Amino acid sequence: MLVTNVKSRPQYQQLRFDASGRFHLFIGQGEGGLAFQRVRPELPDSAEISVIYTGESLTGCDLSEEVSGCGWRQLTLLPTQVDALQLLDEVLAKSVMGIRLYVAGSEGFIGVAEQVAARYNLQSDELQREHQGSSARRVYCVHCQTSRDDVTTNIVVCRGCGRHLLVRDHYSRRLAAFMGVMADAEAPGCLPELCEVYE
Amino acid sequence: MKTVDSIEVVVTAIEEVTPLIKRFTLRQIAGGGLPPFSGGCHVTVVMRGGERTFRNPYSLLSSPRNLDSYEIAVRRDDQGRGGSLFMHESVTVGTRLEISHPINLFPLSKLARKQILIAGGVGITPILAMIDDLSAGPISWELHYSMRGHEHAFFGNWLTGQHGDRVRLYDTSAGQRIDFATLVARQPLGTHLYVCGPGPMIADALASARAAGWPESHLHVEQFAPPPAGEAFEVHLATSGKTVQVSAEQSLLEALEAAGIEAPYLCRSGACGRCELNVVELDGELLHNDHWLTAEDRLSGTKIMPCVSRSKCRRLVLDW
Ligand code: FES
Repeated sequence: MLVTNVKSRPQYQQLRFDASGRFHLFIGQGEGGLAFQRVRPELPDSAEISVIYTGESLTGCDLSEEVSGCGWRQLTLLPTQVDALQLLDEVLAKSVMGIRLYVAGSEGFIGVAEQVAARYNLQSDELQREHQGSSARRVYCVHCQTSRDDVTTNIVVCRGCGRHLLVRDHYSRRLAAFMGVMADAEAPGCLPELCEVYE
Repeated sequence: MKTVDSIEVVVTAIEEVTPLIKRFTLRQIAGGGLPPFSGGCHVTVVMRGGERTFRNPYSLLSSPRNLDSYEIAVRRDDQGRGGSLFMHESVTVGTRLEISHPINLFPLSKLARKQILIAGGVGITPILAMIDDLSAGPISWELHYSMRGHEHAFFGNWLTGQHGDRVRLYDTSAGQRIDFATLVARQPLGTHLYVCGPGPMIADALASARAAGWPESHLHVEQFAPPPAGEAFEVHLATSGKTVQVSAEQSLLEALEAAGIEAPYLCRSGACGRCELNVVELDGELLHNDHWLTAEDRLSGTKIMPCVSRSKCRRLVLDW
């Protein structure tokens, strides 16, 4: 089976305000906005908080209005995930010790945000992750090193090299992706039945 | 009794580096290179002085790149239990000692983006070897070293000579103090803090860092405090059926060792968790002095760290 008990898949939690931090940075995408709406009432008024959100998502779930409606002192809305992650990088470069980072959204988004955070040596007690929305997988082609993060099927065509990839249950934290390996390497053209498995 | 993995060494040089601190150079009797180590390592030195055997942990201060000899520094403590006095008075060049393999409970983070080292007094020893590691690498670092008076500035002066303004010295006899709140306030992400020194200094440094929001994963502490004395009691070992008397001056671990029992340990200072033993029965209360057990462990009354903790009771029964 492909989807049972993925041991290497990261464990997510529900975002909770961490009072031991001095600065709190929330970054989210798509359905991640639901996590922000839920956590907003538990945030103390005195806390220094900033929020980065993008409505861009595979599922078309743009919660920009709802997130804005929560009343943040510092909110940046951006059109794409790439913009949001770019801003995350810039903010972390200027930040000082005492920050807590809260990430909410799809697995692919969380994975890339964690990679950015790792460049600044943010460790597990400075970083929380909440998975919301699609469980589409970010898949890394082991043949041509191209990734795509909208994979909901067991077999996918690589955008880099055109191979049919079988999506393995092995998740690499370093690459923030599941491994995709050529599905018909043994017998070219002979592919298992395609099915939707990770909506 | 000699433990399996100990190393027999001979003292080849002794140097009085301050009025209170002596530096000892140790070479392996068997010849050849000593085991490799990294900055922050300590060894446990076994001192057989008359009727009592002391096992004291000392940090390795020499360069990890030199394995011909190890160096340790011992601060004389006239009020202490006798280990440091033994080193100062009974050990001479040519004395043979037994040491454990080096163990690192105070390692440098490899992923850090900046390292801040803080030392007080003889707490500089592990940090000397850490600086040796750091000076060979790309990560930026700084040292804040507080000591009392010029006659205690040997290591400080040496470090300043080697590393210039990466090193800041604070002379407490001139009222100079490390301003921890300012120091931790605006450090870039990925900064790690390492503190080794007297208890109150460690407490200040940690309190300031936590107040500024530093997470525990970036805070590193090393402290070798002697096990507190207390009242005598008796331990009974349920599995082996042995009974051992713990005197007022002895730690529980030392009493077990004196009775020929090879109880496990690494740090001998209540920090590493290695020596944990299970309590089966007790007719009094446990006096915990470790930094290892959780609040729940303590409440349960079923665990004890014999390297630093004891019991106020007549008889303690351990599952051993
Ligand atoms: S030996 Fe490390 S806690 Fe006792």
